[in-house]
Amino acid sequence: MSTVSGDAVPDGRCFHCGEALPRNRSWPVQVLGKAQQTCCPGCQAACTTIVDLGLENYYLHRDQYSARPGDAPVPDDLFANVSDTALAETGYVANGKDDAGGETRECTLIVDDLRCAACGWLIEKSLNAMPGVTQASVNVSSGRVRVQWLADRIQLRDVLLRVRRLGYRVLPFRGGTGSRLDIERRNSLLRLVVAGFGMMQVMHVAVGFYGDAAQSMGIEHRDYLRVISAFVTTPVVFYSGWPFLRNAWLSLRNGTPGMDVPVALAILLAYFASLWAVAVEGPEVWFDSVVMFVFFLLVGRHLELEARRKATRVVDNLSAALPLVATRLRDNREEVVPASQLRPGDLVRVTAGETIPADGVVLEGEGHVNEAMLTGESLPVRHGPGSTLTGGCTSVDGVFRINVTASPANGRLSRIVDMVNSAQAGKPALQELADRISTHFVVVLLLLTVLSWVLWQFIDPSRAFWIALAVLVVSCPCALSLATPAAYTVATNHLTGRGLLVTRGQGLAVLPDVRAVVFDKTGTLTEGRPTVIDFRSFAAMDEARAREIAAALEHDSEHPLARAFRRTDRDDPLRATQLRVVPGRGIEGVVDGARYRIGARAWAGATDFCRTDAATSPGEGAWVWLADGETMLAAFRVSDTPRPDARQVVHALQAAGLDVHLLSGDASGEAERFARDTGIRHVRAGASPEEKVAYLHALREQGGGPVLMVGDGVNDAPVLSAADVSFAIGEGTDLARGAADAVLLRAHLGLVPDAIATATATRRTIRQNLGWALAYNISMIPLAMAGLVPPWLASLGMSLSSLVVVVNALAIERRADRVLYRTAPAAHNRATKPGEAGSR
Amino acid sequence: MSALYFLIPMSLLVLGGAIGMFIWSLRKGQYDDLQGPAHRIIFDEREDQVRRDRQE
Repeated sequence: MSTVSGDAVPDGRCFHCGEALPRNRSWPVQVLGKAQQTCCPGCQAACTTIVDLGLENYYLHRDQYSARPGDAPVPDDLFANVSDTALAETGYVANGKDDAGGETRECTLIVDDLRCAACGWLIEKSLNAMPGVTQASVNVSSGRVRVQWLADRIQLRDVLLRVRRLGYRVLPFRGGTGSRLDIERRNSLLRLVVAGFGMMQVMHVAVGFYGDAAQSMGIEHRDYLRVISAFVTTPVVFYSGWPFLRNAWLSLRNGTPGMDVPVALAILLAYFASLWAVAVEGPEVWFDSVVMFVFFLLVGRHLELEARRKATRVVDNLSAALPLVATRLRDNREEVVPASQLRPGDLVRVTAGETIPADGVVLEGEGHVNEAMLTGESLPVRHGPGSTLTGGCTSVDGVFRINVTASPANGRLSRIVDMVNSAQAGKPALQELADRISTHFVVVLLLLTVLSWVLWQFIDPSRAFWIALAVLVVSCPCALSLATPAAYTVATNHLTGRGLLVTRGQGLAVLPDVRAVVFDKTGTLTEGRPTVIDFRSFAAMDEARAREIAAALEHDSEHPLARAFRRTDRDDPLRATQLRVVPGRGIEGVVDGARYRIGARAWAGATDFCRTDAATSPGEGAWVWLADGETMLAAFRVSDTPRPDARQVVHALQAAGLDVHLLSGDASGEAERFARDTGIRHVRAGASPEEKVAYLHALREQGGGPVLMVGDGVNDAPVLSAADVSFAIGEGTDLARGAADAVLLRAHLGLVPDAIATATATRRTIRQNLGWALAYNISMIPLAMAGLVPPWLASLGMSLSSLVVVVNALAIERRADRVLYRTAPAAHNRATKPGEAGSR
Repeated sequence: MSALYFLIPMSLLVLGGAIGMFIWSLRKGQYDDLQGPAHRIIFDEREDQVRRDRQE
């Protein structure tokens, strides 16, 4: 993704998408009073639409090239079978009324390629200018658009067409106006702000108490300040602190007391003890410690929530993989129905480029189907009568008549989602070190409190109550409870800065113990897109020339293998004319006056089999053939290539004593070859999602340690959520990202050892923190029991002990680099160019 | 010191007002998208102005 400054597009580049212009021709546009060139009719159409709508300022403001809209202009009937009523039945479209009583409809759209704020502005402006649209608003962060329109004026299909015409791929989104996570985030933000404001107020009153060590303040003023503190602290405890109180109560009721119990106990104890002191004019209050404690805890929780939201930009988006409507055949008539109404036994028709609406068996038709979504394989698979198709996959070039075998709700894709959910629920709850310590600690603490009260009954009964209370509060496990979350917050932020978004803090706790790392192949260790890796010439044609001709022929092809030829080094690529696409065979066209064919061997040039056979041994990838109609000219071996740092990372992990496994859905033998190349010793190829989960469980039982899984596709989602800890590749599917504990924002595999190092440093810091917190509490308790801790010191000590824990956590970044250097020097791969991550 | 009896309640009122305004902005969805609005204000500038800035 390259950047652009306004309308200053360099010569020889498409004004709209920034790709190199073809040599022979271009498609002109008139933008901002200047003549500009575009690379294809698709870009020309999108650009013209933008200009005609009077929104050409978009080009001044964008800081990135626009996404390529597709080669041809968008046909009028693209969304012809999208019907509002069918979508309202399935919950995509909501009905409503506007102020004038007119009937309105509302829908949330997902827009792909929403790259920068200027895109958001463009879509919002153009929709709001559309007659019949009452309101449209774009959320750039989440890539969603909310649009409301008058039911009697226009239909959703008009809205979709308008957005598509601007050059963006768009889909309706089920889930209403705000997802659960959005609401959760708003609440969390408000809790945080209330706690923050409360803390400022209470602290500045508390400074008065700290400064008054000599107790010279008048009783009247003192009580007044106390009441004010109590007044401000109350909402902080019961509103901001509510998640902790509720979780503590729920976990107690379920008989599984976790870390929230001592936290809630500390909050409530300190709060009610202070209230009591206000009421009976006791010697000390601790409101400052309470608010500070709540605020620090909330900051950590909020950051985790924010990370989770960023990772699953579109939550529960899997339904978008299935089409909304299907073409059903009944009594020799075609009718368009909501896909969710399909039942086993229905006949549906799927044409080239369409997504298969439900699982089924092919009755008629032949062609390639792209199953990348399911198996992770980038190369499409050929299907014919009798073979089984899975809903959600896309037909590349075939027209099929399909007998539906399962309704979408019971289909394979839905089963995978179910597996993700159940795997997540079945994950063993992690008992943190701090949990174990603090539970014992609280019990001991309560006993000591009682003990000191009893003892002081014999010494000085009038002081007994206050001393018991001081013991309780001084030893309050604030620092203890903060020790772990503070460290995780810092570690999470550190990793985010490096490009690893940690969505579940728990994952970090397991990472230092991990004994085995399991990688998926396609899209994880490899780039997930085809490239030319080998070349054979059979005539006097050099590779550069052959590639240029291939690039010209394949330029407009939607076939996945065509992407291997897209990149040319020349600024003025060749252009093919008289193109003819033969589905399932290849492409024919005229380049520089000569006619060429590219594609399957038998079709490209059926002659001289023997000569070409010997040169092209079977092996990795697929061969694509180039011929001039009579003789075979050249052949390209096209395959997925490993990521540049794959081998290095595998070695680094093995050097650190970890077992590295390759777990792939690909059954073609490439997994084994790939493993040999990268030095991975354990391989399992051709595994279905179910088998992947089984493999993982077996591995855990044998190896006797937690397993880290790294994957990217929908087929990886169940195994990602079943693993003890899992990373997803950021370019992967939404489902995979939602199932994983962390997401690699940059396709930098070096982040895997990085994360392990950081987690190790984090664990060390947590241990230090716990040690310090315990030492502080243990040394203060006897003093408090002896009645030697003056109230101001108790209060200051509590706040300071929490601060020490937080400050110590900040040292994690430095420690992580040291750990990294010691255990896995090779993993610190700074050589890879950072720009590569976003190039897709 | 009696000023405290007036000033602190005043500061609490201001605090309440601040939180009230925050709630209002939260409900309005002002924190839902932290990227788009930051740029939106620039787009409605006059185009010749933008062009001049770019040339400088």
